[in-house]
Parts: sequence; structure tokens; C-alpha cells
Amino acid sequence: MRYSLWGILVLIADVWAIVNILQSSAQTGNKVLWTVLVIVLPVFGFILWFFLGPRTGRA
Amino acid sequence: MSPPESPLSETVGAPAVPLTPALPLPAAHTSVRSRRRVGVHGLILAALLMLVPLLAYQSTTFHEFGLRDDYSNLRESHEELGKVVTFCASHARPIYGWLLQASYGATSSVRGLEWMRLGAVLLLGALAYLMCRGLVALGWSFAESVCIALLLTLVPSAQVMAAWAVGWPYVFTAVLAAGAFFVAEGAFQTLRRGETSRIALPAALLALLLMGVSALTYQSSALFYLVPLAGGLIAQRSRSARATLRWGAMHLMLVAVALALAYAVMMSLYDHGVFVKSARVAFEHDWGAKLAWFVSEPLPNALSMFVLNDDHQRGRAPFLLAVTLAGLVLIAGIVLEWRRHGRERALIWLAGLVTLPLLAFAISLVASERYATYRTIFAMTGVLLCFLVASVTSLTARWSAGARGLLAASALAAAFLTAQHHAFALIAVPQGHEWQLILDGAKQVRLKPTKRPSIFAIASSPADVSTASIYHDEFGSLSSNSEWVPKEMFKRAMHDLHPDIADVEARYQFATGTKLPSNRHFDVVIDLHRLRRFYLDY
Repeated sequence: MRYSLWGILVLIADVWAIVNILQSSAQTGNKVLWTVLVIVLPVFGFILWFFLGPRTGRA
Repeated sequence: MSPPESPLSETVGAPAVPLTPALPLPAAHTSVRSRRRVGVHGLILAALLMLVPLLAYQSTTFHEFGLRDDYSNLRESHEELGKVVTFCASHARPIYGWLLQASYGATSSVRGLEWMRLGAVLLLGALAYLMCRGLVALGWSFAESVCIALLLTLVPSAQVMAAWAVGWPYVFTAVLAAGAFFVAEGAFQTLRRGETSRIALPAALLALLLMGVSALTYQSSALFYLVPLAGGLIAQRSRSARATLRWGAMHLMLVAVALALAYAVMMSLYDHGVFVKSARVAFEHDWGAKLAWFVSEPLPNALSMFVLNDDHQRGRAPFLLAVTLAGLVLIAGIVLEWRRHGRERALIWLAGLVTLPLLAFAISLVASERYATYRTIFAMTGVLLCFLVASVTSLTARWSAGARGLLAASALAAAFLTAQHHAFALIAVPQGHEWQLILDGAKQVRLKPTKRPSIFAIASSPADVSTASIYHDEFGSLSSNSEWVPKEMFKRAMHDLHPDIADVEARYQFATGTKLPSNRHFDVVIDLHRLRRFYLDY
């Protein structure tokens, strides 16, 4: 149960990150690489995106 | 949902947004509302920075294993109170001894060592938070500060500290030393502004106290003070050379006074017979040979960042490539500093780059011993990391923010995976195998009231290492290839298996050696050469 909740939280965070990446004005290549990073490293990738990644309306 | 528009969402290359100037000194005019906002963002920042080392070292932290000294420390902290403190104090580290005594004393089994390793990981998170906030206050951009803070928690020194239960006081010392710098910086800023010294003097004294405590804990990590100093030297470009020299001299004087005071305290304790000085506490006499050793071992180990040195020289090419690449990036950083900010700034960088790594390793340079382990180069690695990140920022100044963000993310992801692999595959797993072999042997022992069963452990040899890479007594090394460690490991295993028997040691006979004696019978034989079967090619 504990792990399921953690998994759901990570999933929500990753979906949020990926939506932001796709809606950002970054180049397509950058979008793909950021999305791959978030998928391959679900938690650490999210943290990296949160600090350094492209966001909605921004490169 | 949209991401928060705060300093947390600043991208690489964007102008530096101060994320609360709480360090070194808080701005007096900050409104209550903005403090609240900053508080929430500060909490998010702290949580995320703490999460990174937790994720990187999670599998290592909670793996069941001990490493060499862990077994004797665990027994002595329960059975021979004061021995650990006396031993550490004989090496001029009394507070370290006291911290080990307290933490091992509160641990009852090898499984329980995970809490000490968790302590190291949490302290690494705290160090990352402190460094991130502090570097932003010193003038670094938020993205650069996050990169340095996270990389500090992932370098090989941090990997060793996170994976070895004795390591948490090393990180604790680094936190104290970094804290001392920011407290001192606040005091010096107050003095520079010509304000009343009512705050400055107590702050300077507090910084001195923090440094003194860290110098009596683990001297090599106490020099972590120089990491934020390097950060300040790099970021504060508007300061003149003379002002920079004065600023640096004030900080270095504080460090020197703290180290001298700690030395005087220890000499006084030795003179009064409170502790006995170890013969290993001695000064270096052959300075030429020591400097040559510094250039050939500790410096390349620090410069190579995430590529480990290997005693078998198997990974020599990538190691040398990493050292060369780091050296070239640092040289490029100086050249670009000259072009963009003038000769004076380039000379300041060059002076910092030459002197600060040397000073960050000063304790090991001054001491007669030559021990180039990763746990002694944490401060030097931190100093070089600041210069490397600044150089990469200069080199990529014309890149788009997106490309720089990706570069930073790629470097951090590689560092994260490397740290995770090194700590788990080169420390936790091989050490866990050794512990399991001993534990399996201990499980075969049948304790009887009439007869004491005899046990023999065939000690392992360097040929039995189960990893292809090995570095000194840290990565990929063996615990059981000595006379005393298998004995301590077995004692620990029996204690863990029979916690209710008060004097379990008296109920069996244990012997160890490199060969099984042919003329004697043993009830249980533990062959530590079997470690070979766990060999994996990494």
C-alpha cells in the first residue's frame, strides 16, 4: 500500500513534468530527450526537470 | 497544473534570482508574506535535495553488510567502553571517537548499521541544501548552485561516506565547516559595511567554534570550509584584487586559528595524559616527495570526479581521460575569464585554482602519512567542482538555455547512476557477500553446554576480490583478508544470532589463518576463498 501510494505520486509528478515539457517552447529534440530522461529515471528525472527543465511557454 | 514561478523554476542561463538571502545574512526588510513564500519554496528545495542522495544510496543504505572497522567498533562500543574514543583521540579526533561510540553503542547488530548509513545520507542532503542556499547568496545562479550541491552528494568521497557506517561524522564535519564559512562570511560582511560589531564578533566566534569542533572531529573534512570560499572567490567578480585578497586572508586566518586551537587542545590533552598520542600523528619532512605524491595520486583522484581510480589499473584510460578533460576545462575557464573579465580576474582564478586545492588537502599534506583515499579528498573535490562548474558555464555561455539545461541534466544523471553503481556494486554487495559467508558459518555452529565447538575461518586473500575494480580499502576491497577482521566478524555474527546469551564468546573456539591446519579437526570450517564465486566483471 505504501509503495502503491508512492508509485501513484511519482506517476502524477512525471505526467505533470512530461505535459510541461511537451507544452514548452523548447526544440523538439530537447523535448524528446527530457521526456526520455523523466521516463528512464522517474524520480531523479523529475527532480532534474523541476530544477533545470523546460516548462510551459518557456524554453 | 503549472509549475511554480519561483526561483525554483529558473532555468540554466537565466539571471541569478536570490533565493532568500538568509545566508550569509537575512535582508532586514523582507516582508512576512515573502518570507512565507520563500519558506514553502525552501521546504520544497530542501525535500528535493534530500531526496537525491536518498535515492542514489537507498539500495546501499539498506543492504545488510558491515565494512572492516564496523565489526570491531560495534563490539568495542558495547564491551570495551571508551576504547573507540581513546583510539580516535590518539589520532587527534576525540569528537569523532565520541560520535562513533555513541552511534555504534546505540546499534545492536550488523543490520542496525543501516541507520548510521542513513544518517550519512541525510547529512549529505543537508550539506547539499546548505551549499545550494549559500552559493545562491554568494552570487551563483540557482541552476549552478543546484548542480554543485547535487554533484557534491554524488562524488566518490560522498559514495564512501554514504556506504561506510563510520562515514557519517565525516559528512557532519563538512556540514559544520560549510556552516562556519557562511557564519563567518555574515560577520565579515557586517564589518565591511561598517555596522556595529555587536553581531559580527559573536558570529565570528561561533564560526571559530564550529571550525574548532570540526577540526577535532575529522580534520580532512573540516577543510570543506574552503569549498564555499572557492564559490565566493569565483562568483564575486566585482571585488577588486586587493579586496579579494583581504577577504580570502580573513577566512584563511579563521581556519588557521581554529586548526591551531584544535592542535593546542590535543597537545594539552596528550601532555596531561588524558589520551596517548599515536606514533602516526607526525609531521611530513620530505616536502618534495610529498608534493610529487600529491600531484600523482590525490589530485588526479579529485580531478577525475566520477571515474574511479583502480589499483588494478584496468580502467586507466577512462581515468586519465577524465583527468585530462577536467584539466582542459579548467584551463579553458581561466582563458575565458581573462577574455571576458580581464587579466586581474584571470589571475585571481588561477591563484585560487592553484592554492585552494592544495589548502583543501593541507592536513594530509602536513601529516607524514600518505593515504590517497577518497574520504580524505572531499574538500579538494568540492573546490575543483566549483571551478569546473564555473568553467563549463563560461564555455557554454552562448548555448541556448535549453541546451545548457540538458547538458547539466545529462551530467547529473550520469553522476547519479555512477554513484548508485559504485556504492552498491563495489562496496555493499561484495561486503555483504563476506558477511553472509561468515553468518552462514555461524548458523552451523551448535552450542552445547558440555562441549565448545571449534570453528576455523580460512582468511581470504587479495586474489579473492569479487569485483574487477578495486581502490585501496574503499571500493571493491575485502574486509576479511586480515587476521583480526574474520574473528571480529564471527563474534558479531554469533552475537547477532544469539542476542540472549550474555557471554557467547566463551561457548566456542575460533581460529583463523590462511590455511586449514591438517592435524586438527574443526566442527565448522568457513572458507572465505569462496568469495571468488561471486566475481562479477565490474
